[in-house]
Amino acid sequence: MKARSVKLIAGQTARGLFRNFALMALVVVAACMFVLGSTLAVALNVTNIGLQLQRQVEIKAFLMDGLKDYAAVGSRIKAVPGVADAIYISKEEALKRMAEDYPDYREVIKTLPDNPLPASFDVKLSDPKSVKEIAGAVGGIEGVEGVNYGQSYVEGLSSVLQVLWSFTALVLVAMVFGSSIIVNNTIGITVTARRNEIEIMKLVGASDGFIRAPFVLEGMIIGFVGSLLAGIGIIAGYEYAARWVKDMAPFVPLVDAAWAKAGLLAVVLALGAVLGAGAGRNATNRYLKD
Amino acid sequence: MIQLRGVGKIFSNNVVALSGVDLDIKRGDFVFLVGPSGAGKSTLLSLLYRGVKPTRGDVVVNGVNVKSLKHGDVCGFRRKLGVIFQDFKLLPDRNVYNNVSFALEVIEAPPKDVAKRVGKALDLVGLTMKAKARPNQLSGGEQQRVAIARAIVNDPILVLADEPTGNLDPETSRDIMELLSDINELGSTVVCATHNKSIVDEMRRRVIEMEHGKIIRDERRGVYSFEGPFC
Ligand SMILES: Nc1ncnc2c1ncn2[C@@H]1O[C@H](COP(=O)(O)OP(=O)(O)OP(=O)(O)O)[C@@H](O)[C@H]1O
Ligand SMILES: [Mg+2]
Repeated sequence: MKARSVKLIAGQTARGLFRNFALMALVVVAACMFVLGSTLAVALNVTNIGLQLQRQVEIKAFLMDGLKDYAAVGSRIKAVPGVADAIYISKEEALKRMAEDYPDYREVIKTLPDNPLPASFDVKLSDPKSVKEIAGAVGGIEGVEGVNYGQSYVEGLSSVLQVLWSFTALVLVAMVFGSSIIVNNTIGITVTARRNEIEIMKLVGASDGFIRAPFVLEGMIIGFVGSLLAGIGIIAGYEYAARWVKDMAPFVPLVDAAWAKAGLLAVVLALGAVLGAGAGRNATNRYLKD
Repeated sequence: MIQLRGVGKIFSNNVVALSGVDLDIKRGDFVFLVGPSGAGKSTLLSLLYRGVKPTRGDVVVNGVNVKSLKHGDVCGFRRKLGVIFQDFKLLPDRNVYNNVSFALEVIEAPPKDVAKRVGKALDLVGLTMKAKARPNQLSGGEQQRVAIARAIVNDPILVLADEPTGNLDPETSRDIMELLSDINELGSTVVCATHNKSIVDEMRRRVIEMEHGKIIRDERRGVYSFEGPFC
């Protein structure tokens, strides 16, 4: 093929692409918003699971050996803010539970000369997020030898959630940024194609707002429709995934409420419309600044 | 109507387009701006519609100091002006009527006024019969008439024309200048940059000659170039 023909064909292809540029922007926005919405949905559910697990966290407060007045200690534990309840486990009860939990040791336990297990309180929390502070307060009560709440488990859980949300924020920013750029560029093409019109509008005294309006609107439509496509995909995917999880792992607590899905859809649509409008407005700046 | 005091304009590439320009133009004046290419005529006109801002000095148009004009107030300021260029700047995909009505629509003029005012403007420039034609179906002179109709459709107090006859033959140029003269008679102040010697010499209006960004001559009933009585 001659170089001239290649140039001609390339030129025509480029022009065709430009004509379909709005469609392309729509697809890119839809893809970005789908990734964004899916990430949000996953983050929401993982956070929900995390909170449920956190809610099950208990503190075990071991009592000093030979302590008589455990009831007084119990009421002092219950007085700590964030504590819902404290249930007394006597030395005997503790041994019994151990024998139940570890049947292999049942014989060994029987041969023990003494009961080596301390008495304790199972402390239930009304505010699981402050487990660390509560454990500290309970540990400081006179008559309490030590506390155990699975520090590493609790801390691990909250750091997992932190990483998850940092990642989600990153995805959010990247997707908003990516969509904005493509919408900005797409509308930039329309703006450039209409620069003569814009020039005349400026000359005869049209306001910036009036000149911008169609481009802001165009951006908003691309953003909104793209998000709508993404939203349909997200909701469908959500339903599908929820059904799958329910079949495969029914014990996993999913956020399956209608409000959660509606909220997710609303966030994605609003974000799409706003970023589209912003990108459209931005695209006109080149011809409107002084 | 127009006062310039110590006006200088230096572009970002350090070209000095105007320096130390003092100028007064009264309401109702008709002024020709002449001078060699690069003298600063277009720059001066551009200052008057606030296409550019002065680097130095004050430019006051209709009581408004364009230097201190806020960005948001520029559009209101321009609604009192009409600007005409050598290249017409018409929109090719709109017919004559719509090119003119465009100027009113984009400033959100009351729709009931639009038809009346466009009709009046087209009548004044003599293009009522061609209202439905596209710009590419018109001669250069007709296209410039459309541009003039668009410039005056909002009854400007000041009309700025930058080489309005630059692309036109002598006969058509004369018609266009006469049209601008009529518009002046109807009350608009007119400032017109031009290289058209014969018309300037015929019309004997106020002539301001520029060179190297300065005003070097300003005559009440002047000619294009002052070359002495024996030339
Ligand atoms: N936007 C700009 N940026 C930089 N320099 C400019 C700009 N506009 C004009 N100039 C320079 O300013 C000087 C004056 O230009 P201007 O266009 O005002 O001249 P003019 O008198 O209108 O000339 P002509 O008769 O050819 O239209 C020239 O040297 C020109 O190159
Ligand atoms: Mg010029």
